[in-house]
Amino acid sequence: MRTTRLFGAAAVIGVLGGVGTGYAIQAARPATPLPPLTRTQPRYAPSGVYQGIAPAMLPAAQDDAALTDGDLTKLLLPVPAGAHADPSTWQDQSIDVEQDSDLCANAVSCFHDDFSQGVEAIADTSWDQNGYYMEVRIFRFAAGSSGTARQWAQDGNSNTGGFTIPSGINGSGYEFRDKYGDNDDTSWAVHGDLMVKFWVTSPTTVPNTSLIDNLMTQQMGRL
Amino acid sequence: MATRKPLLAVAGALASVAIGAGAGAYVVHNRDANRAREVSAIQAADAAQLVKLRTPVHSGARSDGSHYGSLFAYLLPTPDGWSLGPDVGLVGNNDYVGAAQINKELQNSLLDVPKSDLGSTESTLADLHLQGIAVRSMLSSDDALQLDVQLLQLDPKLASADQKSLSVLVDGLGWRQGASVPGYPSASCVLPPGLGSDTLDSMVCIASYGDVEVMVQAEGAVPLDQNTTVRMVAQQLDRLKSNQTLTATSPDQGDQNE
Repeated sequence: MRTTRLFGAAAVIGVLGGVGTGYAIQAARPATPLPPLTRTQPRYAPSGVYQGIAPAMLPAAQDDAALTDGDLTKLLLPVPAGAHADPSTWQDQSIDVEQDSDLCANAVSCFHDDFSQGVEAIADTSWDQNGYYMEVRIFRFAAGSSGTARQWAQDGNSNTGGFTIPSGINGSGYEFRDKYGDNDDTSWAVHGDLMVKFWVTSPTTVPNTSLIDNLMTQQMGRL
Repeated sequence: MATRKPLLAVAGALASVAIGAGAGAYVVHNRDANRAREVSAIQAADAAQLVKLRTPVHSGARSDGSHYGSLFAYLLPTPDGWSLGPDVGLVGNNDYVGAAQINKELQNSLLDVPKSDLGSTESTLADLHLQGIAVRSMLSSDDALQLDVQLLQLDPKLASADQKSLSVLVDGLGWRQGASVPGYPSASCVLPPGLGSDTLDSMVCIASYGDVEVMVQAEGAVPLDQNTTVRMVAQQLDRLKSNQTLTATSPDQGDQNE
């Protein structure tokens, strides 16, 4: 009877100890890594997956998420045939915020606005053609500020003398007489993080808006 | 003999509890040790990355005034309350451009001068023998003063000729004389004509230390804060002069060693 109990107790202790030790050894072992997959995984053609799900790509002119890097002057229109560059004005040149603000009606507020609205780089070019002075200025906005660029491009709508800009271009324009008494057509257009400003000026004639339309169409087509 | 049975049973029970507890303690201890090892491995990797980012980019000036190490680290840090400003010409901002990327267009874009002075300025800039350009454009908290600092690393053999042609350019522009830079009588600051009387003004300062040319352009509302500008020019020159090892102020730029 005693022997049986002793054996029983010994067996229980043995089993408990054995289970504990075995578990401990197993738990202490580092995990065995899974064997590598022996079969080559199928490759899916991206078009096969995305076709019919992804929306068609926007034409560049409407892609407001486009970001630009590098030299803005390379994006400016070249002086067209038959036009000549005015040596007293900017040509194919990167300019700074002070130079951008200099001819503003309120230069100091333009200076502050450029900074507070996130202008990062400015490039300018201009020429004389058929008695009109034409100027194009590209502003690049900081990452995250293209919304500001889009708002800014609507500036023409808040002025009297507004005119319709070519369809497909996001922007605005208006006609006015500047502080030198010249007749100006000015307009804005936006593409991604770039906002482009245009001027067509004449001391004698009110410019036909087809001139600035043409300028805008050509410049925005380059972006 | 009658007391042996309960004794044995108690001893057996105690032994089984002790063995179970021992095994449990061993398992738990092992898990803890593993987890601690994993955590410390992650922490060590993090710490190594931080050390790498914070490692001073060893820059210094030799006795002949030439500099070694990261030009970027020499840039005057953005003062408290100031923020980064717009791009400096075609170089960008808060950045370093090495010799391989420097071209005439980039050099031409360094100084913004009135159209009338563009020709002479561009031809002087294009002829510099640049080994590297580091730029940082800074904007005061009220957006009233924008200041860009450019460090041009010159070819040591041609540095004095390059520095001379720059000071000839700046002195020859015939601009208004600016404030003097405290402690650096050879530094020169000039303000372009046609500005300053009405709304906005700008100033260019040039100075050099060893093989590094410092160009600072300030812009702001009239009256331009010339005192702050020349004080920062002096601080920039002090930073070039000091023979300490420097840490780049923006950690992700720290590896832009030349």
